[in-house]
Amino acid sequence: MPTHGLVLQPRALPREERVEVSRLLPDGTANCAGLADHLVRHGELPPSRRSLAWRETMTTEIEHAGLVGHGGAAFPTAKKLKAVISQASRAVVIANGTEGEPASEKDRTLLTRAPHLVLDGASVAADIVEASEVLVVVHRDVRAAVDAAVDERRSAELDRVPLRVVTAADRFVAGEASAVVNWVARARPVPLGRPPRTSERGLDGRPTLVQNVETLAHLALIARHGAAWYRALGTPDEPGSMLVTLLGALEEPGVREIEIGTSVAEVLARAGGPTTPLQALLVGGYFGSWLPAHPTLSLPFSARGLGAGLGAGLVVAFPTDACGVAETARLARYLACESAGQCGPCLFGLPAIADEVEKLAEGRSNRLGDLERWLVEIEGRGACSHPDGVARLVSSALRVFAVEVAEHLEGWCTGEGERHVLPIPPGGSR
Amino acid sequence: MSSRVRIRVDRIACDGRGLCGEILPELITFDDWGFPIIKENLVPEDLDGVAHDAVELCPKLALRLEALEQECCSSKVVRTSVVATSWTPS
Ligand SMILES: Cc1cc2nc3c(=O)[nH]c(=O)nc-3n(C[C@H](O)[C@H](O)[C@H](O)COP(=O)(O)O)c2cc1C
Ligand code: SF4
Ligand code: SF4
Repeated sequence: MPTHGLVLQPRALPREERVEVSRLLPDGTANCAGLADHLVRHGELPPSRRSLAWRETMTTEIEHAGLVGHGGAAFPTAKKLKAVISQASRAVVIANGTEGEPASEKDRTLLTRAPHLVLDGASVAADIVEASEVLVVVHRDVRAAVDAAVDERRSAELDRVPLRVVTAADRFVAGEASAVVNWVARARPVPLGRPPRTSERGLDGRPTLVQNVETLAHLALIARHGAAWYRALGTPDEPGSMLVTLLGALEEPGVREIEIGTSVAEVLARAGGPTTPLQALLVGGYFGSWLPAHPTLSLPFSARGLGAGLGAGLVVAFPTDACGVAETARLARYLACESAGQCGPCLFGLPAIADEVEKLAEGRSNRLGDLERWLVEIEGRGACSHPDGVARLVSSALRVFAVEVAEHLEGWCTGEGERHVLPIPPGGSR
Repeated sequence: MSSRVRIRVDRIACDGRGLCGEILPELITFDDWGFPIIKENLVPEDLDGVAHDAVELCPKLALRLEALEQECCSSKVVRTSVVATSWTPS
């Protein structure tokens, strides 16, 4: 374990010491979809006690564990629990399994292979905030699997609070917390933006705890094993394990569970390693950051180690024969089209940014200065952080692919501009 | 002493007509599409009255002033409360 505050050194484990982590997901490709298998694997949840002391103990345990959200923003979960607890009226818990990010598969994988862990977590969270209802909002691909799990629990009378499953809207911004609330309440999957926060007044005006499904699965394990157990993996700053979607030029792309702080090379090795030399990695998601392959491959996979948020855990291995500028242009266009079109800076700024990146990719931009200014100006000026995420992505591309950008401006491209590495849903753009 | 009032824009309601920047050029400029950029969100005391005017005059009821309640002897924001808004309650 690195000592506190010194996580910047690479921390690649020798091969024989490498630990395969399987806290959330069962080993290999095994499934733990049925309730019986789930109980054999994890045991029963300790019973919730409906007292203030129990709720405080649980919140403190989650705080000590250092659990943060796995939906993208890495916000401390205990803080959100406290914000909802402090409200007087009846709360609601929403398990967010929207997974609007087209390249991410980790929430769907978790809900298919270990749905009861997520539902356990939602149930405990509901007891902690004294919620009267849990809504499980899931991607349509996994609706049937989650329905089956909820039915099993209902027959077994496992949960004090009723669980209701809702199919998520299929758009990029639909997974934003207030958009989920808006979708469930009014069938409008766009962010609400204005205060009050959902923790104060969310669904039907009630205090609403929105947590990513993976966050809830970790919470279910902390409820069973405690904070010290949780912290036995990971780094002191960023304890635990996490799910990652590994994608791009890799032997066996897919979802894996890794220990936070494992070297990036080691993380890619979990997907069989790169198939070709890599020039860069996209870390975090389509709101994430491009990082150069070197030295990133030897750095610890943690927000601190990389100096970049881990977001929803996407890692794209980007090969040398693809064009980072062209790929960023495709992403920027897709994300601009996915704007909910409610806020001026997002509605006008994102298409302008996408236009400029496209022109750069085609080697005919003369407005690099404007592009750079827009990327700064747009920050914090949407009702949700969609524009900030796009700005982060494009800014990191200009940094990491600076040489390629210069080459494009001189009229040539070293990559094969037509080689697409990043998945974008067909017809996903309006 | 630092200001205790912060100005914010409801980005969904705002349609970029630009009145706020004319009233409060010290705090607000515009982007290339005419939407406000808050250069400085803390309202200095001498602009307090003008800031209230801006809130009242915004045609889309998109501006809001929030009081920052501060801890004694520290500038940490503890809680905010709305001192002026034309936003309709959602
Ligand atoms: C545009 C946008 C899209 C988002 N999509 C998702 C999503 O698909 N799933 C998700 O869990 N969180 C998503 N989030 C983050 C949520 O707003 C929220 O922070 C999260 O669900 C809270 O759970 P957590 O604290 O457990 O991460 C999105 C945020 C933004 C700004
Ligand atoms: S910032 Fe963009 S995506 Fe977010 S609410 Fe506004 S228009 Fe919609
Ligand atoms: S006056 Fe109101 S609507 Fe007009 S730009 Fe300013 S905030 Fe937006």
